[in-house]
Amino acid sequence: MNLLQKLSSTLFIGLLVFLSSCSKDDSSPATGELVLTFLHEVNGQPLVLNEQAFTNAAGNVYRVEKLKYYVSNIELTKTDGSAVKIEDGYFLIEQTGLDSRLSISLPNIPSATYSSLSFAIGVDSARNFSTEMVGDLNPNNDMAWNWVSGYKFFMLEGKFTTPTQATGAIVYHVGGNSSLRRVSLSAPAGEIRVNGNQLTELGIGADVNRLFDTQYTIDLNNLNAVMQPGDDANQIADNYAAGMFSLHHVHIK
Amino acid sequence: MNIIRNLFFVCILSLGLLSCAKDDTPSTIQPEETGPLQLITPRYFGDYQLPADNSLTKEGVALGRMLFYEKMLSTNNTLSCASCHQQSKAFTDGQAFSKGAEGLLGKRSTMSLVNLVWNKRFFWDGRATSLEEQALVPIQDPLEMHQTLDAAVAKLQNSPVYPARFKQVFGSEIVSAQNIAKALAQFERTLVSSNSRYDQYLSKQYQPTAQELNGETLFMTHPQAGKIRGGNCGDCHGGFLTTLGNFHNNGLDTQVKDNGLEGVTGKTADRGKFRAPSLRNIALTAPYMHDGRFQTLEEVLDHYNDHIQVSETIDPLILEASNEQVVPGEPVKLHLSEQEKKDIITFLHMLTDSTFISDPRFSDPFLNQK
Ligand code: HEC
Ligand code: HEC
Repeated sequence: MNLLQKLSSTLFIGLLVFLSSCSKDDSSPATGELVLTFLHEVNGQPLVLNEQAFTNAAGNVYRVEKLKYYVSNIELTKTDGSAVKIEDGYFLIEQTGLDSRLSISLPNIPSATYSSLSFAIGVDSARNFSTEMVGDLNPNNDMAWNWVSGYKFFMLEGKFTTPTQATGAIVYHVGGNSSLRRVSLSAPAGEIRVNGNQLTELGIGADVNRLFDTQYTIDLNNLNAVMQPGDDANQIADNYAAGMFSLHHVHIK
Repeated sequence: MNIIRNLFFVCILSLGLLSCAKDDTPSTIQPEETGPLQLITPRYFGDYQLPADNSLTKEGVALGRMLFYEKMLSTNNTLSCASCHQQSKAFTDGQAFSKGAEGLLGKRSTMSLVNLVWNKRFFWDGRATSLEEQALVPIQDPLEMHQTLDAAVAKLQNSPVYPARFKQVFGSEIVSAQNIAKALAQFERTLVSSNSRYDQYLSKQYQPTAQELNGETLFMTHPQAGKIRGGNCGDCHGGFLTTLGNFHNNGLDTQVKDNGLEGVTGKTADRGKFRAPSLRNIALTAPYMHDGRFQTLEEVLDHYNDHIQVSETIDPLILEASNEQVVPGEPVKLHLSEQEKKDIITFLHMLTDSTFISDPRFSDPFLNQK
């Protein structure tokens, strides 16, 4: 029964997409380009690696050397409630000393008005334990633990100052099926318009301080290293899922 | 006036070359086959990209191999790439610092050449972003081959063999620095090492000893005090290529003599950072590190276990890694046992690929001719 329901709703969505693309008049193409740009920041200030120190809710003074995460299974919901899924889209977002990859370009999005967007931080279990290289998945990059443990979903490395003024390391490598989280963001003015004649850019804020203070308040003196799937990894995943990401703006170009 | 004099000089030089080239220049080496060349690589190494304007051809690789062993690329015809990058030593030379054509010592240790198609940046400090760009550096470097590109081009142009070779590969007899670089890069891209015991194990053709397996696990595992034992090597030398291609300060010095990546980016945050190199064939490539400071793998393990020097840019992955509770501010030690260090070294020996260092496709093409 459930399965039937699911099947029919999938068919219905498919039909909707089909119908809406057919009903477009000839002057406006059926698909448009959507670009997601991630804006790394700390309490609204741009994240500057290495040089700039930041303070979190627990009062820890810290610096970031590397921030990386996988964005996958992107889904857009139209104002009529139907959804468009991006299949096989595994995107690595990274800010490191040498490499910066902060944008995802989705070229074939059905022209429509969308009210929200959601995505997973990480890699679903089907792909996580496969050596198939889809999108930015690659078992030889530094997001792979090894071929049996799957991918790191989220990585933050840096340093913090301890109460005795010593330097401690921050190494958060979050992964494992139980720490796969979805993030849902609603359009600020209620809509994201995608149209074949223009490029729609979504600016998505990613605030590093929220890693330490949404669901759980994390003090780096107690939790500065997470290297394995488990409860600690799940706490950090809960924190970033609960409030690290926000939709800053929708620009039409 | 100057130009004319230079031209005259080049003419004399090439005349000289031409005349003596007659008896000892190999004119008989022909690539047996021509046409596109497909690299054979294991799937677990992953995809790689070749530059759109320099795809591999059999004749291109054959020319690159000749150039790699060609001493005319150095100012006084004494040094080829292969003088420092010797196949029997996995394309290193056993020296901390190598002498260039004019006897001057270089500033860093020769790097091994292996699995280069997966590299994104070249040199210890990553200052070249392609093999084509890299290849022209040693030719001109005063501490290495110390020859202008014009002089190198003129020598090859005037040799009895090269113009025809360049025509076959690039469609024109006119030798250019750009095409020298392209051919060298093509040959270097074929230097794939994938038949070590580690590879045989990955493809289920070899059953490792208990010590090798333990070494592999320790190598690939980041330790958690009291819970999981590990050597954390895989944090930087990870994946099947045994390098993640990233740059780190691995705690060699508190005051560095060589700024490494900082020299390329200009950022103090990059001081003392070098690329974590592939460790394939590492047992053959002593001495170790960018300045060849360690003679043996035992010394390398002792460094990571007991002698990490902490500075501003030390890598967090090292600062945090220990098999005992880490206390910030206390000396950084891995706390591996003697046996565990030995096990990791056993794993490092598993990375030796004896077919790679004896593969006739990579050897000196002039050897039979002389
Ligand atoms: C005098 C010794 C010497 C000669 C001759 C020499 N090299 Fe090197 N090679 C080195 C040293 C030393 C390095 C590392 C230098 C650095 O990082 O600054 C190096 C690095 C390299 C690398 C970088 C490898 C990597 O993984 O990043 C490549 C590729 C290379 N050499 C190719 C060549 C080619 C091609 C030639 C001939 C045109 C050549 N070398 C001639 C000593 C030499
Ligand atoms: C934080 C990253 C990091 C970790 C962890 C690490 N290394 Fe390295 N390793 C490097 C870097 C960077 C270099 C090059 C440093 C230099 O030459 O200045 C290097 C160099 C080496 C070399 C010399 C390579 C050569 O061609 O000369 C060996 C051998 C080596 N590492 C083995 C290990 C082993 C074994 C472990 C684990 C016990 C380990 N490394 C852990 C980053 C790391």
